[in-house]
Amino acid sequence: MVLSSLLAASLLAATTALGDSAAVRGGTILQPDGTRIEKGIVVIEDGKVTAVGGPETPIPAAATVLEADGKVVFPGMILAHTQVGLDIPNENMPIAPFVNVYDSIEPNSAEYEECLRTGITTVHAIQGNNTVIGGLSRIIRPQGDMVEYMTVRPDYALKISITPRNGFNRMTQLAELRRAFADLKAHVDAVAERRYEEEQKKKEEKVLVLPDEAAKQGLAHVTIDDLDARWRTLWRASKGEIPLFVHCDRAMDVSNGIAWLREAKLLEKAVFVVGTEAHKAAGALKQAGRPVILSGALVHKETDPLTGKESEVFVPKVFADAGLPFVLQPNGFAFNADGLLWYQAARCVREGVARDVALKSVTQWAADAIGMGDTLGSIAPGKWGNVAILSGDPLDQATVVEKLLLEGRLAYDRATDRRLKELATGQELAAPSAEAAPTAAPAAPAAPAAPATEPPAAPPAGGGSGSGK
Amino acid sequence: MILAPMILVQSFLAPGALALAAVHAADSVPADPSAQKLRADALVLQAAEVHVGDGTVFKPGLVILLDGKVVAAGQSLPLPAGANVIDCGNAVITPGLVDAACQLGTSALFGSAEQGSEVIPQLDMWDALDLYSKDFERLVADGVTTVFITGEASSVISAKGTAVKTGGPIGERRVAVKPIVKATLGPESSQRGAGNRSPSRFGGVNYTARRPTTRMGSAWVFRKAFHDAIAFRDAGKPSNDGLEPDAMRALADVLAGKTALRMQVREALDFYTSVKLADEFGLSFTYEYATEAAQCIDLLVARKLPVIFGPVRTTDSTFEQFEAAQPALDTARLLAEKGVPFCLTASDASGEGGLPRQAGVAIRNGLDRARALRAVTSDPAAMVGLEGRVGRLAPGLDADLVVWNGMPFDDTAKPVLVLIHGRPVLDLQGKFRKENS
Amino acid sequence: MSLSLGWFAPLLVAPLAPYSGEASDAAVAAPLVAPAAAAPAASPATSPAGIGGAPRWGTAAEPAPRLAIVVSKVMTVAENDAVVDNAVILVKDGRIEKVGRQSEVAIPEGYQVIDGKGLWAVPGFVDCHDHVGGGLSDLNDGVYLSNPGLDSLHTIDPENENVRNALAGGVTTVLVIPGSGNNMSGFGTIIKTWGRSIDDVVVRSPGSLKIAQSGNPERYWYGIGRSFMNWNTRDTLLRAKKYHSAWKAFEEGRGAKPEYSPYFHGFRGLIDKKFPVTVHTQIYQVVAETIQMLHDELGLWTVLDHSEFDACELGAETAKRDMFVIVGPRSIHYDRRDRRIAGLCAEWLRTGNGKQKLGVNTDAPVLPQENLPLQATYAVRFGLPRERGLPALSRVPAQALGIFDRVGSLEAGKDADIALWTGDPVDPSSACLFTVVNGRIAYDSKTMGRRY
Repeated sequence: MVLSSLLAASLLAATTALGDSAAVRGGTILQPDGTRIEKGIVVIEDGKVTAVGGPETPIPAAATVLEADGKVVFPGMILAHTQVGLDIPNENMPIAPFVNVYDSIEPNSAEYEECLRTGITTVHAIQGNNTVIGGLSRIIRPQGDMVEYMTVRPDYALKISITPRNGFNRMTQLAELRRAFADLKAHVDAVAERRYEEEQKKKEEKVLVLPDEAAKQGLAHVTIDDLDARWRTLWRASKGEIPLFVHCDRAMDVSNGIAWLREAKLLEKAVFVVGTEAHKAAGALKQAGRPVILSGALVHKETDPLTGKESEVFVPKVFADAGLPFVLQPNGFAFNADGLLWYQAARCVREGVARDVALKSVTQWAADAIGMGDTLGSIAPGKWGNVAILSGDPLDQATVVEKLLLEGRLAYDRATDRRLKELATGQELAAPSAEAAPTAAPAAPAAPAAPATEPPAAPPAGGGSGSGK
Repeated sequence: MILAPMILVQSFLAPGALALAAVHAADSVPADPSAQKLRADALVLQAAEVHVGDGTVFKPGLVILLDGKVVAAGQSLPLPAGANVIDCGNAVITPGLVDAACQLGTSALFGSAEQGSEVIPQLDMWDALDLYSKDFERLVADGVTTVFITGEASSVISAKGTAVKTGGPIGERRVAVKPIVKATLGPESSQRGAGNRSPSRFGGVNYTARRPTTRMGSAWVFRKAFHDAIAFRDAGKPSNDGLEPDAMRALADVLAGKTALRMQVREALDFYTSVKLADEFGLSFTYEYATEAAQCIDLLVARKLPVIFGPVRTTDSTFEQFEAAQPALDTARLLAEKGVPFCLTASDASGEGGLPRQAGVAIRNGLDRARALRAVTSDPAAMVGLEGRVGRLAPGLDADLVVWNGMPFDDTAKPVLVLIHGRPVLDLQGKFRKENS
Repeated sequence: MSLSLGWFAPLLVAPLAPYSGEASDAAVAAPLVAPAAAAPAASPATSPAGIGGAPRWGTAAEPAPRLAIVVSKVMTVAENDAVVDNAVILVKDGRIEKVGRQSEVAIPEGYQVIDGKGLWAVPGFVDCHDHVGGGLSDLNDGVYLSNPGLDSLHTIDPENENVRNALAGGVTTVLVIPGSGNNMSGFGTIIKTWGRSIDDVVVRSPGSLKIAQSGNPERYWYGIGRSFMNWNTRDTLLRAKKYHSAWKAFEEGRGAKPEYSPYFHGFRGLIDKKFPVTVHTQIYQVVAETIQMLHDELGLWTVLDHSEFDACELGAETAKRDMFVIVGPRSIHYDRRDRRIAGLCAEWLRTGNGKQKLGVNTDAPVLPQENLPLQATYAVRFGLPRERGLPALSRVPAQALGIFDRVGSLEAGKDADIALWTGDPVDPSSACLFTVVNGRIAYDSKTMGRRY
């Protein structure tokens, strides 16, 4: 990590030097809770929103003004649980808490470009569900030449699956999960015992105790560097230092999951990633009080084994009726005609979910689910300047993203989106001439890997359509 | 009264999007003496908008239905005294949707792929149809009330299609339609079916030895079949490829124009082959699917070839396994702009890939809203020769209509009430009404 | 036939109809243009409507530009192998108008000048053995051993990436043929590697009949050998000859009208020598069989493709018959007796007493289509005289396919298929930077990005 720290340090300087302010003027500011400000003004300074208000709101003289007359200004949307940009969802090993999506995020992925095009400003890249314990995740901006610059929160969460991975049953799955934590404990005990002895050697009066007691007393001396690299992440997780994204495909997995989380005293760190059948456990999930992320398939289809009668349930409606916040994921991804995140929200409204609930499920609640509810998810002073300028209402099918601000900088502009024409019309555009070839934005104005608690780091400037790569 | 007023009020108000004014008897509507000839059991639906399906819109509008037929649609019409008037408030009424190239409704277990021969124009899709299939309920939920079930793409020359209503009494489902036979070019007819292999490996030609394994082979089977049909028609010569006399007679009907021809084509190069083959036999035809129509737009314009376009790929669709990529999303707009006769199809998709969503994607990519409605109602009806029966809310046509809880094809809108022959097949509680069947 | 062969029957030309010479009006009465359609004329772009393609393939309405291509050297590769230094090539209406020295040819008004100073202009190359003009899944219709009636025309995909890369190797004309999984896998199609529609790219259809005499059909057809395969091929062709002569007699007023056969009508052009049979043939015995059967016995216009391994010992026989030999994808042969590597082209030339006409092919995708020039490089490296390198890429294959009147050299009146190279294309350090097909700029490494 020495190299990356150096990079971050050098880039931080560059970013600060480019400190920027912008204002979006004249559009209808639409908040996830449904409130609107007509002809509103959003002011973003140094990447953060500093003012939101009506036409009378003062705009700093230095600010670059983006006119949004007749447009809708909406917070950038959030993929709270996704594998976009990863080469494969899961490694072929059941217990892999030591791996890190950092090593597999492809900054050049067309999927990130598609994120910008469809109004997504924050992506939580996490391993897939076909695992027992998956690796560390990362919250990123969908733009940047290196993972370092994309990073919003490094090493954020772990994936745990209560639902058995392919080819195994539930008993094996939970046995492997418990076994992993037991193995961790055995390893930590052994290290603690050794540390106890090392500490004793430094003392003049040595106290001999039984191994169990040595392990207990030595634990205070154990630092994370004393552990085998394979156990470090899980050790932190076991102490409640890392959020756990717990996959529960079915309702029974929800109850198993909650039981195990209570047993491990980790329920407070859990975010539930549930399948469609888990809607039957909406009550248990509500009681658990932790965020819930729904799968892309929003309809639960079931055939009664006795009568053969087929039934369909629209899952978000169940959660909405239960008063339980939920987070939507796209069905497939935006390369499919129906794969847009806001399309999922529109489906909810179609099926009778209240509009503000649908809008929150792709913004504020998604931000809450990744622990950034105070930073992202709506347009408010103090929050990051992630703002989409839309051609119309986000739930209208004809709406497109016209411009996207990522922490106050223009990250996407439909007018200069070269790839868009090709995607929409099937036309192949002439290759850019050698001289005019748009090369990837220079690294200079890129962002450091700043932890979320610090002021937002600016994303690369001049990324244009995000398709310059 | 077919619809209980209480159901109407409750269900419309539930989503909050609709404010249903009232349900009342017609005696509160100004009576018109000329309306007296209408019987009192007529059903009248009022709504914020009534789209006729040919481009006409009444705002507000009403539709009068009697005996399973549309009596009239308009902005203000003379009403029969005592008729049941249902005020749908802010809802929008359109004709029931029509899919001219549907591939649902056949037996899930066996489908309709005939492995005995590549050339089966003598067969009828009606015989492979499962009217009890859940597919039809899904179509009803999409607002689709009439489907033309087209031949299966595994055969080079497939069976005659058949038209059915998606709901109502089983005995009344079938819709008489002019025979249409479908041919399939490209990889689907040559690679989709089971066992396209060398017959020597099976000890001789048998049902696992389907002939083509390449585009060349599919084109050859097509040519050979029509040559056989000509030789049989003119000289009574039997086919040496084992074609049934009935099959050859069916192809002779295609040659004579008594049976219409469809060509399922996805890729640009197959468009070329389809034209070559049709020219060889003097055939006119309609394209089905036409995935790469945008690349072949000059050809379509020059030859005035109608297109049943779609579907754009959605998560629920199954055809990605074949070579054709996602079609250019603005294909429908391009076809409209260039004046190519076209309609939209959802093929084997319903729900998120269904016909309303196909229209929605077309609108998102620049197709005019009114044109999109035509492309899923009156245009497909005309493509299968049913323009006098379905696809519009015009006097004398079937009383098939959809009440939407918003603007049709919006992502946030869906059918809340579907009538076929004036009877509800999807009621206001989202239930499929089977008591009619 | 079927009686004596028993279980072999399905191996044959489908379940074959007994040929009948008796008159039938079936074909005439039919509402079709059968004879013409079955043996299409060789002219491209005659169809009233080209297949769309406009969005991707240039603008349909745009007339071919007039070009004046100024280069340091023109290798005409004409029969006289003329070289013109400090030259200009005028291009008009898709054809070469004039080739001459800059000092002698004035550039008329309205010509777009292509500044190729320092570059060489050579004819667009011709590959006689290409499989990438269409989908690779469409090569072998693996059901029957012989497939009269199949046509690669239905597989042509001019938007194919492989075809476009060919332009970057200066390759502008290819014969797209079906695979060698069957003895007779269908008719080939000669196409240009750039055009805005399929009609636009087709130079001749059928371009050839593809026959694979051995080496691959056995793999798909477990348990058969050369005796049966060659019997079957010969039998099919004999039927085709008989069919053709019956029609010929009818057309000349000497006999009754024969029954139309979709199987054999396409062969009429072959028997009439309107197009050749291109034979995937290799190994001494097989090539000898090709010479004896297809050339001598059946009298077909026969072009040898592939032509590898020890077949190069047959140069005297092929040279004597004035046959074309096209070599590749292998360009060398390890001779076990002499324990040496021999260049195949050099060996054919040696055994042919210096008279053998030699071209090279890629068998793309076995070698990438754009690698065709490297085949000549290898041939020269292994002993083919250097001056035969360029002809092996352009003039000879064009002559072999009978299209030298249109392509294969830079001469006035021919199709303007021109590639600009940094030097001699046979030198592997040279690169193609600019390619013109039918007088239109098809590849410009500067504006389109270099592809090869």
